[in-house]
Amino acid sequence: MHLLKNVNDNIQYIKNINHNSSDFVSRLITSNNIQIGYIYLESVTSDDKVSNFLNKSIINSNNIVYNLNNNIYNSNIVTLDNLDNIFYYLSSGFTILFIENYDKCFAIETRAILDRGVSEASSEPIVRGPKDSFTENNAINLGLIRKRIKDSNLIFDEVKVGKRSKTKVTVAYIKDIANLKSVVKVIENIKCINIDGILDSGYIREFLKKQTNSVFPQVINTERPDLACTSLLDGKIVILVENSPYALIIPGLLIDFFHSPEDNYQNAYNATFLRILRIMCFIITISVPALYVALMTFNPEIIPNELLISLALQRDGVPFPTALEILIFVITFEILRQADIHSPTVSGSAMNIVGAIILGDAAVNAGLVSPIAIIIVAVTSICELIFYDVDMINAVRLWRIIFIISALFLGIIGFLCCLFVFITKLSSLVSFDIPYLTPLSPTSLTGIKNYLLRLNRKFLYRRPKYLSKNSRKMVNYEKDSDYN
Amino acid sequence: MKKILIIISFLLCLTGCYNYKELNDYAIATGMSIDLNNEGYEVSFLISNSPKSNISSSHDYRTVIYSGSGKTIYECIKKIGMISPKEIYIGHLSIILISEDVAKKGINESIDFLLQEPRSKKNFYIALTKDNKAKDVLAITSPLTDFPSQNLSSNLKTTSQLQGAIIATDFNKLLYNTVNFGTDIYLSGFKIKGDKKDGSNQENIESNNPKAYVELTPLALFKDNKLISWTTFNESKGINIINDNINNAYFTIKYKKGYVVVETDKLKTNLIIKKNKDVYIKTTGKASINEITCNIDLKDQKELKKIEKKIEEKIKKLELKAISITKKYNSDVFATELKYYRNYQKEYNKIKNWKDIYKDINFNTNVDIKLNATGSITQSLERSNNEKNN
Repeated sequence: MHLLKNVNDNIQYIKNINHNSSDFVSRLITSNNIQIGYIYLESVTSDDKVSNFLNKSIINSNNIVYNLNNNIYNSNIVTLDNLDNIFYYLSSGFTILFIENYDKCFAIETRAILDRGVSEASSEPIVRGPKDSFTENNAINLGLIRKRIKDSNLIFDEVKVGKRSKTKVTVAYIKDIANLKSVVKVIENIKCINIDGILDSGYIREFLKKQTNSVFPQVINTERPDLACTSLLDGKIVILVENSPYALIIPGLLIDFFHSPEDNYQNAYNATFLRILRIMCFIITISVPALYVALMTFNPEIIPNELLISLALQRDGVPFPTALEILIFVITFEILRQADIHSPTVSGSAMNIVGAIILGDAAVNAGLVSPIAIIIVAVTSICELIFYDVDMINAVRLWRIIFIISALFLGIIGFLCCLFVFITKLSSLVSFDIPYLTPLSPTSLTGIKNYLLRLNRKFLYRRPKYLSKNSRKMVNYEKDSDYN
Repeated sequence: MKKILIIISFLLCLTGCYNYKELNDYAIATGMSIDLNNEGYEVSFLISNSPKSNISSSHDYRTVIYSGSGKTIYECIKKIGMISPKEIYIGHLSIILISEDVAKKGINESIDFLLQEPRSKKNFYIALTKDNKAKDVLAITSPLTDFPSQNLSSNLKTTSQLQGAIIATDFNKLLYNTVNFGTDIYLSGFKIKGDKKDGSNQENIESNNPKAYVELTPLALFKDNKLISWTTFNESKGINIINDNINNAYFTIKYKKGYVVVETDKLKTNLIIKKNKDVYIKTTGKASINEITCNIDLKDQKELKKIEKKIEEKIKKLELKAISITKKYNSDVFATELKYYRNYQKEYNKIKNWKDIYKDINFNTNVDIKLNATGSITQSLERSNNEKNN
C-alpha cells in the first residue's frame, strides 16, 4: 500500500485496518501552511516522549523535513515509503509522522517502558556468582550478553517469527568458535516455523527438537546470562526470544543437565564432587523405587540378613502390594509438588504441614504404608530436585514409573531389561548432530575434563572438538599440546 | 515399532508375575536344627519375623520355633508347613545346628536337602550341639542379640577369629570337605550352660545375669562324615594351627615360677607331604606379650629368646597332641590323602587303603616364632615391685 497524499487519509486508513481501536491517538497540526499528522498507540507509547521530542521540533519550524532529519533529539528514526509494515512499528511503540505532499513517512521511536527491570534469577538461584537474569525485553537480554562478551565476533542474527505476533527471535553465536553449519541449520529451522504466535521460548524449543518423541530435553533453558555466555564461549548457540526471560542453549547433552552455573565459580574439587553427586542422585532417583519393588516381591535373597527381618516386619499388615504402595506414594508426591508450585506463597506453608503430616506419620500409624516405603519415596523425590531443568525432572519421573512397572512384572530381571532399553534409548538420541551421551560415548577426553569433571582451569585450555573446530581456549598456555 | 511395543506389553502380562511373592507373606527362618526322634528326624525352624502385637505400627517382634518329624528332612519341613500360617523361607538361614546323635549317624542325609533346595543361600554356618538337643540350643535367648540364631552365628564367627580353638565352618567349606575324598571334616559345637527351660524365657533376656546361655565347645572329629570323637581345647587348637585356620591365638607358658601369656599374630602354617609319605609342618608367626606374672626384665634379649623358644615348644606340643588324636581315631582332618593324591598320583594309585597308612605317617613339625612386641611396659609389675623391696 502506497502512501496517500492527504495526511488525514493516511491516518484514517491506519485506523481502519485496526477497526478504530481505542488506544489510537492522532493529531493534525498545521504549521507554516503544511499539514502534519502523527499517530501512535498510547498503550505502548510514552506520551512524554511524543510531547517533548516530536511536538517541540515540528511546531513552528520552517523546514519540517530538514528538521526531522537533522534537528530532532531522537536517536531512532526510520523513513518509510509505504504502509505495509506500519502496524509492526506502531505496536513496537513508534510514532508515525505524515507530512502533506511528501512521499515518505517517518517512524520515530517513542517506546514506553513496559518491562520489569533486571532482577535476580528466581528459578536458578546460586550462592556465589552473578545474580542478574534475563527479562522480557529483548534489547536488555541482548545487552546482558553483549556487556559480558565484548567481541566483534559475537553475532546476533534476528529472525521475525509468528504470522501475527511477529516476535523477534535472536540467534547468538561467536563466529569463530561456533560450528557455523549448525548455526545455519538452526536459523533455517527457525525461519521455517509457521505459526500464529510465539509467546515464549518454549514454543521454539519444540520446533528445534528433532526427535520429538523423546522425553529427555535436548535444549537447555536458562534465565542466567552468565550461563548463556559460558555456553557461547564453549561454542554453543544461544537463542533469545522477545518477551521470554528464558534463553535456549543448543545443543543440550545429557551431561549439561548435571551442571550448575555455580560450578564455574567454585573450587575445582568441590565442583567435581558436586557433579558426581548429581550423577549419583540421577541414578538413585530413577532406580531406587524399582529396586525396592523387585527386592521385596521377587528377589528377597539379595537383601542382607539383618535388614530382611526388619523389612518384613514393617510390611506386615500393610493392605496394598508393594508396587502399588510405592506408585501411590510417588504420584501423591507429584500432586503435592504441583500444588506447591502453583499456589501462592501464603498457602504454601499450610500445604507443607499437611503434606508432611499426611505423607509421614499419619499414613504409617494408620497402617496404610510401611515406613520404609516413605523413606524410599522421600529419598527419590529429594534426589529428583537437584535438576534445574523442569523437562529433565519430568523425564526422570516418567522413566522412574516405567522402571517400577517393569520391576513389578519381572523383578530384578525386569529391572535389568528396562535398564537396557533405557540406556539404548539415551545413546540413540542425537542433539544437533552430537550424540546425546557425549562425552561419555563417544568418548572425548577434553569433554570429560570439561563437563563430566571440572578440573582446575589451567588444565582446561581446550574446548572439546565436537563443539568447536577452534579448540583453543587459552592461547598462551605453555602446556598446550596437540592431543584431543 | 509400535506393533512390537504392543506385543511386548501383552507378553509382560502373560508372565503372570512368575515368582511374585510379598516379603511379609514369608515366615523367615533364620535358624534350623536337626535332631533324631522315634519317627526319624525332627527338624525345627526358628521363625524370626513374628510381630509382638498385631498393631502394625509397633515393630517389636519375637521368635517362634516350629518343629516337624518324619523319615526325611523334606518330609519334616512339609509337616512344619502344616503348622505355619506363612510359607517358610529358608533363603536367609544363618545357622544350622546338628545334634550329636544325628552326627554320629552321619551328616550326609542332612546336607543333601540343603544342597538340593534352590532358595537356600549356602553361606550359613554349621555347628553341632553337645549333650543337648539341637532344638533346645536354638531356643536359648541372649540379651545381646535380637534372636537366638544371630547369637549363635555371631558367637561362632567372633570366637573363631579370637580364640584359636573354635572354627566357624560355613556350608560351602563343609561341602568342599565332604564332597572331596581324602579329607575328613571337623566342626565346632554348642552346649547349654544352665537350665534349658530358663534359657528360652523372656526373663533370660531381661535379667542382667542370664540363667542359661550357650557356650562353644572345642572341635568334633569326623570319620567318613560320621562323628567319632570330641577333642579337648588344646587338641582343637593344634588342629586349627596345622590347618592354618587361625591368625590369632593365645598361649600360656610356664616360666620362672609364673606365667607368660603371649598372643600370636599372622600365624602361618605350611603342610607339605613328601613322596615317602613324610609330612613336614612348618609354622611361622609373630607374637607379643600380653601378661606376665613372673620376674622378667623385658629389656634383656636373652630372656626374650628364651621365651621365644618356650612358645615354639608349646606350639609344637599342641601340634603333636592334635596329630596323636587324629591318628588314634584315624580321622584325616589334615587332608594328607588329598595332598598326596594331587602331588604323586602314580604312587597314590598303588595304595589301596589310606586309612591303614595314616597311622604310620611320620609328622615332622617345625615352629619359628618371632617375639616382636613386648607390650606397653618394659618391666613386669612383679619385677619392679621386687626391686623396690630390695
